[in-house]
Amino acid sequence: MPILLDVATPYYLDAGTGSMLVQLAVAGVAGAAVFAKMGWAKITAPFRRKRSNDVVETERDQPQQHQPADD
Amino acid sequence: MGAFGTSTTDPGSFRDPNSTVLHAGAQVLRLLSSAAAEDWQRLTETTFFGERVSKGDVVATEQMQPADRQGIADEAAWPVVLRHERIPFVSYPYEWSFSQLRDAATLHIDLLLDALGEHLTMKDGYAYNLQFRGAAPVFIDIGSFEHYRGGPWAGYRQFCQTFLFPLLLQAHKNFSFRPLLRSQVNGIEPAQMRRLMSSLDLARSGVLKHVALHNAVDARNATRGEGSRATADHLRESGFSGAVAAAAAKNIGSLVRKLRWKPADSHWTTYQLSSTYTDAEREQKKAFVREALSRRHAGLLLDLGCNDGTFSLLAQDHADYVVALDNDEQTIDLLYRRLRADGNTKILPLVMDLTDPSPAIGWRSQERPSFLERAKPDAVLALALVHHLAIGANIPLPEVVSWLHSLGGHLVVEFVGPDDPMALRLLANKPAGLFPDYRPEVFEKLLAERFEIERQVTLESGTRTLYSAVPRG
Repeated sequence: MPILLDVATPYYLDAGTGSMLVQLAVAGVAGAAVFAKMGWAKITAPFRRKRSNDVVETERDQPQQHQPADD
Repeated sequence: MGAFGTSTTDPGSFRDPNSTVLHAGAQVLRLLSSAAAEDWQRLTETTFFGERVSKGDVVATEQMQPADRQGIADEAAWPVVLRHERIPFVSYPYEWSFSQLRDAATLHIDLLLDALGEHLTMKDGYAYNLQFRGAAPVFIDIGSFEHYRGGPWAGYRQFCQTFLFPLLLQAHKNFSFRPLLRSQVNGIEPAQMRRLMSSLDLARSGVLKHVALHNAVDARNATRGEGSRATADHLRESGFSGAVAAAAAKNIGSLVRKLRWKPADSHWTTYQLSSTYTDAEREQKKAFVREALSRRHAGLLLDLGCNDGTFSLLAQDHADYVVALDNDEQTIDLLYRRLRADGNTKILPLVMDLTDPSPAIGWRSQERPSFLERAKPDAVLALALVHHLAIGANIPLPEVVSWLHSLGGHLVVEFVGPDDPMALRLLANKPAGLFPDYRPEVFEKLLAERFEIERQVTLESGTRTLYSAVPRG
């Protein structure tokens, strides 16, 4: 389904990853629910301290798995 | 070719592959691809679109009949052509005062909320999506509306860069946003804005989330992460629905509405109180201007150095549209708020330094044309202005007259003599004897070389002369 959405989506800007995530905070309580569903791991991936390249590659290869934070 | 002759693409309309604006003669047309045509169809089926167009909040738009669009673009690539109402004078956010930018931002968010309520969203969110019709903001980017498929608003970042950050900067720090927007066509970046905020500023409305958090998350994602397209998909899959997008938009709207600019009173706003015209002279001047303008009807009239707008208000009866310019932002802000309260759609106030008017900026330095390229007036008022250019700004008098001539159009100009209190005030700040040629007879000779002087009157005080003149050649 994401692929179909890509082809059909006519928007043309880079909305900015940061800008999209911040909207969760801006949306208040409504955003908090989405935040919770996305999983702590997904949201804090940008904030985690840099790990070895191996670990980063694993996260990218399996985006649907929720890796428990083990730092 | 049809009835339109040659058409030119608007130099600012090229990034969205699905929608392009053309100028064909005096008409403003928009070409839509089949994807964009579907979104247009959805837009026409909403309740809010028709309502907003009738209220004047959204530019009047109609679809051209196939027969009328002969010769306009390839029909296979562009199945639908729209015709838009023409905005009488195009202006840009770096020419707007605080209240103008804030009112435009408020309208943008309100329209986004309308759209989300009817399963649409907007592709972008920058300040160039709006124009002004007199003192009323108008949304012009019809191509921005699209089917909402879930996920966050794609225009939020642009909205921050061209609306929210400029407004926060001026509301919280009393620092004018205009120089920043003029020199950066895409607006103020989150990292840049963050550096302008002190730790005390973090407590001010909107700064913690929209500036500090925004910049922090941005920075972390700069070199790693999955790209914004994947992030949008994940947010969508995690339930980022229209309700969430609307909640975010409502909060942004509340923030924008409560921002206030509190400038220290500029001396220009008390000008009328301290000015040196007697009541009789004021009436004499008004009568002269009224008579001069009544000789011919102007399409576009520029009031250069409009101050409190007295003469713009007078001129609006003799012109289709008046653009009132002044260098003082607070003066323009006050004038704009007055005109807005009156529902005026004929006078557009803008902040402009006439000795340094807006340049052309953006892609190929053509995306947003310069002020002088846009300014093609039929009539010009230059009242109590020449001494500011010639003495205050050290522009030689022949240059001033030459520039006034280059604007084209009927000129009503006032020469304030060197012994007049207003000129003396400026001369006091310059070395003595610097302006030996700043004399009424010199000015009149220069004027007569380039213009045919129809009429002139020297006011009671004897130190101020008004001219009504028509350019030669």
